[in-house]
This record gives sequence, C-alpha cells and structure tokens, in this order.
Amino acid sequence: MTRPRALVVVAAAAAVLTAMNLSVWLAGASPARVLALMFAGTLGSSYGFAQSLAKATPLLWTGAAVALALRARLFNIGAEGQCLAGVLAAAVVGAALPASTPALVAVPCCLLAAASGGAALGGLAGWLRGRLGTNEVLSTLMLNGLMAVGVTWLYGGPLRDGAQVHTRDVVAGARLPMAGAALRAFRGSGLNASLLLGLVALAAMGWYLDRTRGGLRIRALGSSSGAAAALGIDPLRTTVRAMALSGALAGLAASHLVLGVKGYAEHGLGAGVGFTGIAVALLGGSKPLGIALAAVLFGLLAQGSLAVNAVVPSDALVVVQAATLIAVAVVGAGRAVAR
Amino acid sequence: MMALVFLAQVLSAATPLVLASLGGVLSERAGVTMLALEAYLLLGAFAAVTVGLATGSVVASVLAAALAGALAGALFAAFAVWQRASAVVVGVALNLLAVAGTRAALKVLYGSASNSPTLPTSAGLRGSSIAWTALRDALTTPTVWIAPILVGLAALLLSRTVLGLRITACGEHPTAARAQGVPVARVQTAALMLGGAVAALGGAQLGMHQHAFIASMSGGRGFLAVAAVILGRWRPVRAAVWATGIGALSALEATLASSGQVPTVVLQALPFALTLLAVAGRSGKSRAPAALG
Repeated sequence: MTRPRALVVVAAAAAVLTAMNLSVWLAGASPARVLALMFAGTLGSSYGFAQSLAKATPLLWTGAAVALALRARLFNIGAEGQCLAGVLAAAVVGAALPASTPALVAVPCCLLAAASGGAALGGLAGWLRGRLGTNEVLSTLMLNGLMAVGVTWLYGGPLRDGAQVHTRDVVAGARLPMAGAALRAFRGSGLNASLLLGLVALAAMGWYLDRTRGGLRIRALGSSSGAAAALGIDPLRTTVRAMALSGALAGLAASHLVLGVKGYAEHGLGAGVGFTGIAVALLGGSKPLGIALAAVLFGLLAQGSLAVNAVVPSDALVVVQAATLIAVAVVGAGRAVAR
Repeated sequence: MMALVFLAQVLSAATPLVLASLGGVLSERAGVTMLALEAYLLLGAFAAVTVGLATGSVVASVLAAALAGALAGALFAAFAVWQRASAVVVGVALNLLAVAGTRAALKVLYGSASNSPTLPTSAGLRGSSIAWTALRDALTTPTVWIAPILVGLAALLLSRTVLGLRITACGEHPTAARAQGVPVARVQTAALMLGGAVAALGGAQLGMHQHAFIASMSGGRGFLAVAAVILGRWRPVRAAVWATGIGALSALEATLASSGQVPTVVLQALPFALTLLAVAGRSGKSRAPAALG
C-alpha cells in the first residue's frame, strides 16, 4: 500500500503545529504571541540567527552520526553517550596540552581526542553486535547510562577545577574561532567554526558513503545480508567500522561544545544532543543536505524555545520536538530508514 | 537490622523494574519493539502523585497510573501499529515527550519544574526503629504486592488463554496470524495498552516511594527494564527475576552508599555495566519474537 505522500506530509505538519499550539495553550499563553516572540528571538535579529545556528551545530554532528549508522541499518541510540565521551576527551586533552601550544597543533589534537572518544564507545557497540550479536540499541543505551554516571562523577570530583564545578579550561590554542570575532553582528553568540567543520564532515560523509569502497560496504551491510555476502564483506569488520565512524561524528560535537562555546566540560554539557540527533537524521532522510536543513530547523526551535521561556516553559517546546519525531516516523513508515 | 533495611530497599527498588519489564514483555511478545518504558514509568509516577495530591486516595493513585499507562500505550499503538511508524522512533519520541511533558506540567501545576509537593504520609504509622519503618513503608505500598501477582497473571495469560496465544501469534508470525483470522492490529493494540498500564504501575511505585514526583525520576530504570526483558527471554517470570536482580543491585547501591565504603560512582555504574555484560554474554542464546525488528 503506497500512501499519498503530499497528503501525509501536510497531515504531519498540521499535527506538529497542533501539538505546539496545544502545549502553548495548556501552559496558559497565547499561541500568536508565542510565535511572534519565537520569530523575534531567532530570525528577527542577527544575534538570534547566529544563536540558532549555534544550537544547530552539535545537532549537525550527532545527526550525521545517527545517519551514517542508519545507512548500515544500525540504530545508534548511543550518539548521546558518544557525544559525552567526545566532550570528556576533548576537555581532558585540551587542558593537558602546554599553554603555548599553537592552534595548528592543539585543535587537531583535541579533534582527534573527541573523535577517538566517541569512536571507542561506538566501536565497542559495533564489536558486540558483530561478534556476539548483541542488539546495538540495547548496548548503546547501557553505554549512555554508564557515560552519564561516569562524567557526572568526574566533573564533580577528580576533574573538578577548584571551586568551579567544571574541568580546567582548555589551552587558548585549542579554542575554535568564534563568529562574533569576525562579524560584529554575531558578537556574543555561541556560533563558531565548528559549524563549518560540521558541514565539511557532512559533505565528506556523503562522498564516503556514495563514492568509496568502504562506504559501499557499509551500505551493502544495510541493504541485505545477501548483498553483503555477494560482495565478500566481512560483517564484523564493517559493523565495527560503521559504528566507530558514527561514534566519531557524535564525539566531534565536542568541537562545538568544548572547543567552541565553553572551553571546558561540565555536568549536563551535551545532554540531549544525541537523542535529538536521531530526529535530525530521520527528518533529514539520512542524506547530507537533509541533515543540514533538519539541524537548522531544530536549532531554530531550540533557540526559539529559549526566547519564549518567560511565557511558556521551554519544556513545552520539547513536546513539539517529540511530535516532529513521531510525524517524521509516520511519514517515513514503509520506507526502510529504520527498523 | 541491616538485613531488614536491605530487604525493604530491594522490595522498593525492584518493584518498578519488575512492573516495567513485565510491560515490556507484554508489548514485545505481540511483536512491537518497546523502548518507551522510561516514558511509562514517568507518566505513571506523575499520574499517581498528582491524583494522590488531589484526592489523598492510594487506590485512586494506582488506578490513575494504570489509566495513564494504558492511554500512553494506545498512543504508541496509534503510531507504531496503525500508522506503521518505526517502533524504535516512537519509543524514543515518547521518552522525550514524557520527560519534557511532565516537567512542563509540574511547572504549570505546582510552579516548580523540579519537584511536586510531597504526598502526606500517615504520621501515626511511624515506628520506633528505622528498619521497621523502612520495611513497613515498603510493605504498605500496594504496588509492591501488585507486582508479583501481575507477573503470575501475565504468565498465565500468555501461556493459557486465547488472547495470550493470539498475542504470541502476532509476535511470531503476523501474516499467518492474519490468515487465521486474528485481528493483528487490534491484538497488538490491546497488548500495548495492557503493557503500558502495567509498566506505569511501576511508575506509581516510584512516586509513592518518594512521596513526590521529581523531574526525570525514572533515571534510566526504563532502559534497565528493557534489558531485563531480553535477559528474561521475553518470559514474564524470568524477566521479573532479572529485574529483581537489577533492583537488588540498586538497593545495594543505596545501602553501601550510606556506609561510605565504596565510591558512589561505582555503585551507580554497576547496574548498567553488569546489565551490558549480561546482555552481551547471553546474546547468542536468546531468541526474540520473530516479528521484532
């Protein structure tokens, strides 16, 4: 049975808008006023626009992470934990470097650390799946729990910087350039070079999956076991590679969070970014352009919900995010984006 | 005395996990991947506490939790069964929805996004010693008694009744079931609503044990319950045994944390680490209902 797609998309959009207006109304505010405030806080000013892009940046990374795994038909629910691992690794390595380390050395070191942290966690889930057949949804959920407990302890205890409840600052050379330094209009916003890195990574991911042998193997794993066997693919190695690459992308969200915005790691930094990445990947159809657009949409939503926080609890708008996720899943039903 | 306190803590800690995993078993036996147990726990806790605060009745609290869970299960079915959306995605979305929705509702109802007012406790019942009070608190929470009864009933339902056989048929071979005249979507909806109601009772236990609703109070228990479902090979009693084991670990955490001899982080990480090991170690041996993804 094929669905009239346009109709379903319209129905999904209507459902999301209804969910939004309903939650705003339930919270006791006027939907029209909330929409006006949201617009003013995002697209209405250059600062709001830059902040929206800043909120979109980590989602670009985790969206790409989930999408890459999905192309191998692996459901990486663990982008959440892999992002936390990247944040931890980038913060530790960035703070351990000598204070005079030039940016040309410090930034690659920290990026490598972030990618490795995420890749280790993702790769472990991939190995468990390929070697023992452990469902990756379950293993990554447990690894998320482990990471959350672990970093909460580390940031409040061993890695705590004196009276501050966060880690030591990374060296100056490890910080990515902020957009506000180049463009006066963006001053004060969290927008930084991680957005450009993320877009490059997204393009590279598209090229890798569609144009290279390694990417072909990953896609073959996702299409059917018959195709994978016909191509002589080692399922264990390919599963580990797909999950490790996916984890590396999720870990690199730390380039925005640690090297861009904060300069250190703290409890709660990166929380929720991985789960939202699932929505971004699905909404974006696991394709680079789609992921970029979906990340910007969720960035606008996140920044917009902060702009209306005084009128409506910003949680009411997470409800909208969840509604979008469900709407996307309903629209995508029947397509093999996910099991 | 330590033993009594520990027993009380095991009962309190295991009950939410047992009920949530039973809800997971009922849903997954019908062939629907169930990751929304975290959402059911939160919604159940929220419903139990808000109704408890409004009415002061324990019975009303428990019924409200079950009703909230059944409705959430119906919502799950509307998307995952009737619209054929990916059950994994619907599960993740419902979890997001429940975390944010309950927090927003807390803010609107009680003016705080972190916790509700506390439920009145029966002051006259306070015992002379901490151990007896803890044990009595555990034993007078109705969900502690409801849990084992429901596990037994669910085992009978799945193995001895027509509905149970139909649920299993939907999970194993939906096409054949349909050919036999089983209304697959309706049976799956029934299983999801039943599963939601049962899992939400686990949430009621959480809320009644803490005497309040605290934002995100499920704290990953829903995910541990998913693991218990798989470790228990989709059987009610076995899943309950695993859930009790994981619950005992959490109780151990509470007991040892107060003694201060073992770092808290190790104890908090233990349920996740051991569950991961157990799941990995038993992966090859378990066979999921065939219609699960």
